[in-house]
Amino acid sequence: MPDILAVLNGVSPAWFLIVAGLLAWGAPWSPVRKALMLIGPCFALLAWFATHETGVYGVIDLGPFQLETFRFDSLSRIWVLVFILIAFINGVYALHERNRMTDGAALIYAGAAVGAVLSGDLLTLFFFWELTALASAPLIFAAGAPMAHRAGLRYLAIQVLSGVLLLAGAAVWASQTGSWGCDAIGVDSAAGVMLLLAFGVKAGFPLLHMWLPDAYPKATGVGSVVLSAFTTKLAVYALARGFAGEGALIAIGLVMAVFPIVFALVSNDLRQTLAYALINQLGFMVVGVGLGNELALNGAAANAFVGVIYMALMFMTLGAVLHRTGTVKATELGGLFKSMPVTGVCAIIGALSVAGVPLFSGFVAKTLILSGAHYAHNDLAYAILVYASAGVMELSVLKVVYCAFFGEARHHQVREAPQTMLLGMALAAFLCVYLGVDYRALYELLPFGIDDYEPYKLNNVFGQVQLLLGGAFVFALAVGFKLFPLKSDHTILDADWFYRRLGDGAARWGKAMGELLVHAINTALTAGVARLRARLFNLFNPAGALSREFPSGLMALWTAIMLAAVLLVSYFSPMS
Amino acid sequence: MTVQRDIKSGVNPPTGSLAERIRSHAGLLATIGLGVLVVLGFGLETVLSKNGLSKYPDVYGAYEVLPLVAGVLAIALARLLAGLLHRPADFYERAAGDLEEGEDA
Repeated sequence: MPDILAVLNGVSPAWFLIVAGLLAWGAPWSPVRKALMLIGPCFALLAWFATHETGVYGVIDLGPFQLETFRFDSLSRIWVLVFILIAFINGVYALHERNRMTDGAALIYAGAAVGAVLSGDLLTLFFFWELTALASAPLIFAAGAPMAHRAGLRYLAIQVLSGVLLLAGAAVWASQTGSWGCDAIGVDSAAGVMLLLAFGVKAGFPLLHMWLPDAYPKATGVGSVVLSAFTTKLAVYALARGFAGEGALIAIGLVMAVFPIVFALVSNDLRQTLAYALINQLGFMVVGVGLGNELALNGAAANAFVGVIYMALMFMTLGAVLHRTGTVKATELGGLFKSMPVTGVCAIIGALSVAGVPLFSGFVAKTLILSGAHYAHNDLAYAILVYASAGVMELSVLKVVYCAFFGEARHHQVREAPQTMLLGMALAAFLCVYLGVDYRALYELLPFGIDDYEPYKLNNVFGQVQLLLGGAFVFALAVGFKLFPLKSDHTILDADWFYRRLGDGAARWGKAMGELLVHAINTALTAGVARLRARLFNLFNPAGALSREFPSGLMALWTAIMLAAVLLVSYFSPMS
Repeated sequence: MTVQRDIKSGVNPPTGSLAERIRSHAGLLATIGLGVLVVLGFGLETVLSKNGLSKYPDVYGAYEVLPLVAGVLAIALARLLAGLLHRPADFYERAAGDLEEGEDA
């Protein structure tokens, strides 16, 4: 074993995932693909363990550019670890599925995300950034329905746009500073703004978030698990790398933490509810990055780590429900706990983690960001985050669990989820509980040492439990009075209206106007040509004006006039 | 009214009835239980808050009631939002031409 570790020292874990993904894409045999989905992450994990020293490895010299493909430091290592872990857990969860496209794409996507995190320069980051876009889109296309196809195209267009912004920003940045390095950037320059926008698109900034609740609910069951893990957390990493301490991020993060709650409460598609809950979680991380102190940055990293796991767990449970019932609509589900008890328990564990219940992973991570806000004396951020997490966000995850597993039974005669799915969910659920109890294991991975931080203080636990009980009480009351959840199959308009209706309508109107214009030009040209042709015909046809015989006197007169004109022109011409 | 013992099922009627009654009122019981816990929590905090038994060291008193209000407001706002911005479930699909007239999503 030590020999293997010595060989793997300094080898980027990304390559193991990408190569395994490419092999899986090409392998026609399902058992081979499934083995690759487990072996790839295992080797990547070995490579992660093998590289003890922080530093830059895997430098590719391309003349004027030096590409740093493996920068291993305290910030990147925690992100890489959780990406590898979730790739493995997804490999287990997806063992039942027979889909070459998603098997290969999931691994390449994971590898691209790991590669992007380990990038030491903006060009390498751009390469892996775009690879995440290209590799993740098949996870939506694979769902097969026309609406999934359209959603996949929209998703791909927006992700590629983010990459274009990144490349443009990087080029301007390099021209201004002479460096392609992927370090602190700031928003003082146009390049910085472009890069912030590029990262913001993937992080789900307000009004740039539309792709997230649009695409995730339309992916395959496995696809939504993988999608929830990588893209957005990669963006948070990029923000932490380039924009830590940027004050604007606090405001942006707070908006992200609050506005999705209302949408999560009214969405009928439970995976869309989770997509909005995911934006809320991202808001916490963005606030942590914006606060910029060590505690808050640790909080952002810790939230990214546990958030990948518990949101994946929630999507896994709904993937299992989708697999068995064929739907994840709140109006069509209910009472599944009897037939799918293990899945139900996993969903409850995931929900408790999302809500930040003590002894679950969400609590030990969120409390870091709250402490970071308190440390920075940002009371407004502190209060809003408290409301957004324990007070209100709890409602939306309770809604998912209640609508799917409890509530009014919809008489779905289903079996428990396949065992491989259960195993994948159990692994994620175990981590949710383990990291909540043995929080030191998580804290040791964080970028900055916090040996003296204790989340389980009496006042902290007591206050949190009080808030959660209050939230649960409101939920129970609202359910009791039939005020919640809303039971109707509908779409709630969000910012996606701007491009799905307004933009689409404008494009259709433009197309129609263009067609009208072309038709009008065509008609006018045709008529003009016909008129010209008729006139020429009138002039030159055998009976036309120029074919007639003229009297000699008249012709002599015309000749004299033309000669006189030539004489006059030559007389007054400057050449003469 | 006396419940007849069902010999075939072998279930003790009073036990089954109680369990059924509890099950049918589980929501109400849970709500009452949660309400009691919330009140107890505030009571305990009121008694102990001199020593700072609060999540918010600088703010005491009714501060922790506000998230309860926020929860209620969020539900009200959600209902308002649903009323204002709701469209049929296949709104975008139909607009984009993925679904034709008479076709279901």
